[in-house]
Amino acid sequence: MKKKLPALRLDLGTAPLIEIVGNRRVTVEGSTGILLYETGCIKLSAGDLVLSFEGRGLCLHCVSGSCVEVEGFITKVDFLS
Amino acid sequence: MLVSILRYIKGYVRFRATGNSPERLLNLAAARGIPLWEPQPTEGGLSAFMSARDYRAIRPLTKRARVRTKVTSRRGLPFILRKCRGRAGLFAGAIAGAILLIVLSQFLWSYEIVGANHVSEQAIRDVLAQNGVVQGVPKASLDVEQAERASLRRLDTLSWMSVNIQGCTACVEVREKDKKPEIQSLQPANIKASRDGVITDIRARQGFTQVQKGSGVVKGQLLVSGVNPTRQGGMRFVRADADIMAEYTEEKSLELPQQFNYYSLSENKIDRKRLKCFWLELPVSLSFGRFDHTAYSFREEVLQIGGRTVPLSVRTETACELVDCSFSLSKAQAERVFLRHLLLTELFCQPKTQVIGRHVMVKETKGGYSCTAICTNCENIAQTSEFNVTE
Repeated sequence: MKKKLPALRLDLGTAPLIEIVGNRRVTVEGSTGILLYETGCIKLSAGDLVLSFEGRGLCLHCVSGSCVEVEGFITKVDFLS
Repeated sequence: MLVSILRYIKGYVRFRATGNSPERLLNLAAARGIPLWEPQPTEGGLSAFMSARDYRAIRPLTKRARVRTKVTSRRGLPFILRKCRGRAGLFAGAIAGAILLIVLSQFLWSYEIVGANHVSEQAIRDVLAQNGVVQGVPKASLDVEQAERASLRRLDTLSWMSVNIQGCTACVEVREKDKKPEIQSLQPANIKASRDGVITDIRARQGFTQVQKGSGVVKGQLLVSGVNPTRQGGMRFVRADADIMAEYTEEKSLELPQQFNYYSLSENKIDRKRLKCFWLELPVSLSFGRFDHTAYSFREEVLQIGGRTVPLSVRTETACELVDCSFSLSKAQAERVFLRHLLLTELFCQPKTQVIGRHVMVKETKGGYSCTAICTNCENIAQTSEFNVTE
């Protein structure tokens, strides 16, 4: 009988790569869209995930097809779904 | 930096997107590979920068994102050029200016000479001009090393020269040769009289005096000897050194004509100005007057901007009328003229001679005056005469 792979390993292929530099910069590779863009909160869609960054003076430094770079004073990171 | 320059050349706009979901516009633009930079959330929307060409391309996307966009500022070269579209003269002037700048920068505008303290700058300029270093010469045709070598060969008083071209100007640095030091000879010598006279003072520093105060001497007579016989029957040789002051009389004469004819400058002048740029000269003023006899003088005013000489100058040629004049000399005037002539001769030809007295006589001759002066002078008549001890 064929053995099933764990769910965690299945998701790795489509999961976004998130790189956080201190609390000032976050680079999200694999982003599929921007859901909310405010200076206090930025929400990004990344496949099945919705990422939420809260803080002060947040701004998008770079926006491309699959990569988003958030800069500012980040106080909170949430994985909403 | 390079990206900023490219964006400026292509032109870019800052726009503001307002609507329910301006973020969607960002997503759509990113999905289509349309770059926008510095997106900033604003009241009810967002603002960002985008190239002018891409801004036209996102119109369909704005409808899909249900946002309204508005350009808030336009920046870059295309927008500046658009403003100047109706001003062809401006472009023509800019292009002509650029061409002029390129062409003029190929020539040597001016040069300065540094380090010439005793050598005439004009002499250096003349030699440099003969070797090709002259205002207005094309820089490409300038052989600096050859000019330096040839100029140094012509100018004996210089030991080193360097022509440094900096942009459109040149700095000619020169070093003058050091003067040869006076080498005191150790050869035994006598002091002899350089002319006839009566000795008034003897200051012998070295040697054996052969004359006394009040002695009359003739030219070539031994005054101070450099040879002294010793008690042992031998000879002692020294280099005689002395100041022998002697009085003598001298006759000077001058023939002056009674009637003088000469040209005198009148007040009639004609100025002709010419604008000079490199080798090109254009007349600025037109004056057609002429005189029978003319003396010319030239004046050149060179334009300087910020201490730099610009190859633009105004050359003024002044033609002065010469009037034929005649003057009749009286006996008293002839005496004054002769006296001045004597004073100038004494000042410049006999600077070390002390004049004790002079007796001036003026005789009227046929068509002029014969002036004679008997001067009593006092001067150092010591003349060093070296001799060889083997003689």
